Amino acid sequence: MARQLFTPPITNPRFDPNQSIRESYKNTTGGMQFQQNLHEDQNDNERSSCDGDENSTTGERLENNKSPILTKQEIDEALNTVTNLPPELSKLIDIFIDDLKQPKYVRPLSVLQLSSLFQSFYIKFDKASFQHVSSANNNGYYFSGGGSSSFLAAKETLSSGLSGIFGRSRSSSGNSLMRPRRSSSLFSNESISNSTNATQMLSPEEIKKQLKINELNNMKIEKYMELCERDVFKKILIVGTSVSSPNKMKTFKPHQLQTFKVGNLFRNSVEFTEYNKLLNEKILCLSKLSTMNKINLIKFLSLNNGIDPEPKFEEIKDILYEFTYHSISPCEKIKALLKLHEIMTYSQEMSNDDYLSLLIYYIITIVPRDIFLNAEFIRLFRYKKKLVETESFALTNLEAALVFVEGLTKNDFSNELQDKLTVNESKILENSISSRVSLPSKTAIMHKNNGNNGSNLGDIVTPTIQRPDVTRSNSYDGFRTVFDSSLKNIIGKIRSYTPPHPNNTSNNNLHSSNNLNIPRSSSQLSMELSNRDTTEMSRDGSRSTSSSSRSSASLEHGNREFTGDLTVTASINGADKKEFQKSWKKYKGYKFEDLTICELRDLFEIYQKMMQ
Amino acid sequence: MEATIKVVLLGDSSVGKTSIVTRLKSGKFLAKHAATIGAAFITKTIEVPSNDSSTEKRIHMEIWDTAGQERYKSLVPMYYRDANIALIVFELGDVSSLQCAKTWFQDLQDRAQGTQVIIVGNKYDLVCEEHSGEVTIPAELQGLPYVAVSAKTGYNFDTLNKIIISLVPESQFKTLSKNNEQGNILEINKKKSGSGCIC
Repeated sequence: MARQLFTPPITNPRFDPNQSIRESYKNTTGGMQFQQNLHEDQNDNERSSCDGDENSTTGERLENNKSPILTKQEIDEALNTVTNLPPELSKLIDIFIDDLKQPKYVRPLSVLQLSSLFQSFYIKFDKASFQHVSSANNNGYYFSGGGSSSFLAAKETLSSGLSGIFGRSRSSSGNSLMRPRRSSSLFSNESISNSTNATQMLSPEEIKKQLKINELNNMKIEKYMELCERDVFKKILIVGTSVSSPNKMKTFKPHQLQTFKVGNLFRNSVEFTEYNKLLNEKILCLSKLSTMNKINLIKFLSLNNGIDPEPKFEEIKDILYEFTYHSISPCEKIKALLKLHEIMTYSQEMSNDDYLSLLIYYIITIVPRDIFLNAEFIRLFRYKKKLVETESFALTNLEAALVFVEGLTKNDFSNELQDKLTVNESKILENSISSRVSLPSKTAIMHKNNGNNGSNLGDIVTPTIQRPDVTRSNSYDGFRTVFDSSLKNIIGKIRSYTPPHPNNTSNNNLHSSNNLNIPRSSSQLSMELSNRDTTEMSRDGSRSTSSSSRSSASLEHGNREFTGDLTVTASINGADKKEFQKSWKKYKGYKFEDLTICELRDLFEIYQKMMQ
Repeated sequence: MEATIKVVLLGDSSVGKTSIVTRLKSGKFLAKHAATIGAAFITKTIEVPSNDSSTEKRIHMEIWDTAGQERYKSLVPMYYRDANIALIVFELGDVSSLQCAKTWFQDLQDRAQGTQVIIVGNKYDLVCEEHSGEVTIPAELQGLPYVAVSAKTGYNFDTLNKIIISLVPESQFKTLSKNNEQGNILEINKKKSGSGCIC
């Protein structure tokens, strides 16, 4: 009799750790499992024969896309009850939308900046959803757990753990000679000889239960993210996209609530709206040319190789209208796009060449309005963690089709068509749209945003938007006050000075004689001037605020000082005297406010000479 | 450990790219489980053979077909953006398709330098074994991994898979979510133990 096999050996490509664990605990169903294994082996052989790869020794194995842990019924039961977001999660959306409506940005946000804000919010919401689901499960376990049973369960988990069981199963199943011993040690002999070991093992039911819970949690979080996208854009539809009071709720008729204009999100990014406008015009133009039989689209796109687009035309049209007019959130739009691709796939051997041609045909003949903005809306506002695999491929196909259409010019068609074009049609098909409108680089924007470590939503746009509340420092004003005071003081001195007449020699001699008899020393004079300057600078205001009597006294003092300086200079060098006279005359009658920087510099130099 | 990679197929429309995708899709154990929106895109998971039984590795491949017609050539960069591996396909015995393969390689060099390249000669069943050895690989493609296959018969797809596996860098692998599940179990049980009363 053939030996009963519980699991395939680990070297078998179909080895499944989960299956080996389940089988290792089902000693009573060993015979049935053996039969199943035989059936699978036969299937393997049949597939090998069909594939024609008889020499295959590859270790490849596909993972079942459906969850092996949960049944469809369990999934439906868990997710069908989730139709709305929990209040604490829904509140996050309200806070986010209200924050967007605040007039706190210097200029309106571009669509790329908005996209960054939304992506950051999605990440936070994803994390909050995980915490919510985790806390809900913990609460459930808290109430359901008993005293001694929870203690024993914890002990089992800590002592054995999932990896321990996996390790034991793998090592045992890897060697066929060990099977009898493994079977007896895990179930029969060990449990009899050592009863304490039984309490240290995590039961298969508990393992299965935990795996189910984790899987369900992940599915719930995905559901929450879908609802998040839905609720965010539904709320935007209600409150509008302008910065205004959130209390001003718009009232819509029932049918109006179904229409969400994605263009409103792009109105601060004129490149996108202009590109979209030109693309709409070109698609409409090509559609009219096709309708009037000026161009044969099927022949142009090489769709005459057994692919007939007409049977599914109405169905495709409905989906494209759903995609462009009636869906609101990015999640809904990408679902419509996936459905579109599913319907358009004629066979499993359909190549991407045929696929693109067919998609281009439908776009031109159906003329879905604003399809470009809808595609960009998905690219920018769909949660990037979800925009992968099939979603990414479907969106890339759509974008590729649109790029092909925008690049079409009249030169791509026959010369006969060019002769038939009207002036307007010829103008529309003159150039590619990308040669006229350059879209902002998303990579640069994303790179800049990725480099921002700020956790606050507002911080994301800080590098690109100047804060309006920046105030000027007061240091300049203080400096200006001192500077102005000094200059006006100098000007006042220059204006009040009256040079002596050069022919009045007797007066000069008299002044010289008087100068020689002055009791103050030169050092005292310098000190006195310095002290006076300091006093002047410390005053708040200019000389003009002084009283008339003080002003007269100051003028007398100024005259005396200048006379002394002039005498000293005259005795040293007559040439310098003449030069000095010329220099000060140049600025006589000037107002301080009219002086330039160079003139001010010159005045400083004159002042320095006077001080010398 | 699990790695997710994007594999993109480049080449003329007549060299059999879609057939290769179909063959990859309909390999062993895959027919009922492959996720696809047509043959232009499939996902496939490969168990990586390992001597260390305690380390389990998987490679999750996203396989993107592209349009090969001349009119759509300018669109192809949109598809191989962020691709990890590019299979540049030509038809064995067709010199012009091999020249096109060289052009595709140059495009990749210009726009996607981080993408690994495998040269794939398809339709091995249409050429006899003696003549397949006469294929002269252009100098620009020398040094790149090369494999002759037949999408029709499935010839040498094991080798192709092995080459793909060998090109996946170790840094691409991440710990499977199973470990996280175990952590969750431990965490939950700690919570339970906290609420319990021994006395």
